[in-house]
Amino acid sequence: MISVLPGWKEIHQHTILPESYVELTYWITEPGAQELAVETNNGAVSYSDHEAILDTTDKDFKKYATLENNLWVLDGSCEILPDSEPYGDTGYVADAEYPMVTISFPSLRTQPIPGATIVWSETYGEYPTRVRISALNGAEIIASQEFNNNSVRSTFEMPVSNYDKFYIEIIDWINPDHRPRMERFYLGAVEVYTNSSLVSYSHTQNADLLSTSLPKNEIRFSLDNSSDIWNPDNPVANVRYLMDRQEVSVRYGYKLPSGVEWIKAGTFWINSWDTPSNGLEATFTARDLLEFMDVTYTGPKTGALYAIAEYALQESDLPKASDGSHRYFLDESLKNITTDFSEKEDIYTTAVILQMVANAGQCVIRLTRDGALRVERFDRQLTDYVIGQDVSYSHPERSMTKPPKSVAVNDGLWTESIAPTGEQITITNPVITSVENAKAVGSWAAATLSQRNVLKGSYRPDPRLDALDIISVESKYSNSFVAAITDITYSYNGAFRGEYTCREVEA
Amino acid sequence: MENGLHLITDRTQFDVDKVHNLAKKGWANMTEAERAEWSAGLKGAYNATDLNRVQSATQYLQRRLADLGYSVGLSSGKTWMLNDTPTLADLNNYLADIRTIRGVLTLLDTTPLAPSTMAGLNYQRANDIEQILLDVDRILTYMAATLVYSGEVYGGDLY
Repeated sequence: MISVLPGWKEIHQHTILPESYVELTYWITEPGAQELAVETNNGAVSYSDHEAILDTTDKDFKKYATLENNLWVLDGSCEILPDSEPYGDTGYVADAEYPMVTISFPSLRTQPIPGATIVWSETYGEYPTRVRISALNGAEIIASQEFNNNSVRSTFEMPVSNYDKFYIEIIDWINPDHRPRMERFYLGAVEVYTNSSLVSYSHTQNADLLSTSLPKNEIRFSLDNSSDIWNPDNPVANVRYLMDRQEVSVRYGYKLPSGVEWIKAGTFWINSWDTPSNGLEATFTARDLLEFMDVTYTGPKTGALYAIAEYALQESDLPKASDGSHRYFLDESLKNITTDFSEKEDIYTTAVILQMVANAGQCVIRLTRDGALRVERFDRQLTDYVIGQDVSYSHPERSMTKPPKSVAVNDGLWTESIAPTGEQITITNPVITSVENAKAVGSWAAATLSQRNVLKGSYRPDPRLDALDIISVESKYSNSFVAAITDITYSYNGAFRGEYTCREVEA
Repeated sequence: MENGLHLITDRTQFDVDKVHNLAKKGWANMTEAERAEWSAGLKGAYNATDLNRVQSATQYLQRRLADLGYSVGLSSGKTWMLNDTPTLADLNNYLADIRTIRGVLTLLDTTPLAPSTMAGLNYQRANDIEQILLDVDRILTYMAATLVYSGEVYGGDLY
């Protein structure tokens, strides 16, 4: 569960909530191209962190006090430059009469992109009033345009393909005795959609406590298409740039007395869209990292589960985090369980291999809000989240699964007995090849399935809840069930509505 | 104006707001009068002229204190230029000099303390820095006016 300020939790105790927000940032670009880019410039101050303008991770930009005329405002907001490195996040700070930043690629980029998005200086609230952006193919300028600008965050529309370089020339800065600054450069257009521009939005998460199926973390959203900006027949439509696996990040916000507090909702990748020529809306679906794991697995079929899972993840060529780190975590316990399913000739995708490894390793697969994937032992820690009667639209419906009699793993490799009567549960997982492993999986499954209560309901959610979180749920008679969320859907239409399913667990 | 110190002790939130407003407006949209104000350096901002003025004042007061027999050591302050970026060490020395000057004499109850850091400097603390120097200068002037020289006072005189 994502952590929030006390004020966030406090507002959800009230009958009436303050204004809420959904902010969706859709990066229309060639996926993977930004990571190949390199920045250079014609002069920057010593404390300038200019190479990092291509880094898309969260940053804490420093507002240093300098003696540029009237830049050091006496409002208490400025820090003092340290005597030596590290200087922190400063972005590009020009030290040239005619500042120019160059973004280069090692090879020609052939996919069309709509232009570039630049964040100048949100820290100081400054920007260029005139800038020239040029795209090059080798030494040849293939597109060049001068733009007037009046915004700290600018998307420059300049459709281009077959480029390997961009020049950004700052012609005029809003205050000419201040150094031009640039905090971020994004290849392509970074479009931000908020409450007023999202026609509809929903966010669905589900997870399997026994990893017998793959989890899912998906959003569906619709945008206004009355201007035909997403119409496939429109020659200047954005739809030209739509590609699988373009990144979408979402955050949710509430207006607290101290200001709007935002929490990350998730990082997703576009996997489908519907942009009808006759419709007023364009609808998009984006999902989690498993979207990339539809690759056929060609790795080893013997050895530790950890190595097999790691091979599957690396073979999937998952997008890395902006700092270059992997977007996955594997539990160390997977190193202690081995398998040999080399006799199996079936073809598996890397996603299925990961799911089978998680099941054999008695782990869950958790899809995090940072867009990462974690294969880990289930954390049974009870959170402070309560679905109480005062936020429920109706009493949760309780059902009980059939009482399990036993869990049979792989056609009798091991059978874990639970009760004299009931349903026989079968787990078939080719990765489980030893009796020892089968026994551990059987015992794990038996313990989980013996908790038979399943609750479903709809409520006014606090959208910090994720699948696999352990919460308390109040029923009609105020019994407080401790349950793990297996399904949660948030829909947003000016306010959040939640639908959930959870299974009672021992915390 | 105090013996040429030209110290500024009356900055207000209005001055700070003015900086924000003009910065947001941008040079191209400023009137001629606003451009003139901006170019001269706004009161609600801390510029090279402010640092240099305060440093000059501390050096001046060092000389005055020396004239009265107080030996005070200060850092060798540099002359600040437009577009310089002072570092932590620079500004620690700057504040240390102010604290040194402040610490020589017994001052008024109303004399503010020197800020412990220049990080997060606001208009009140900027005023405090210069008020300290102003108070020291005033006290030195009183002291100089009430100095008794040898041969001026005789037994039974009222003084």
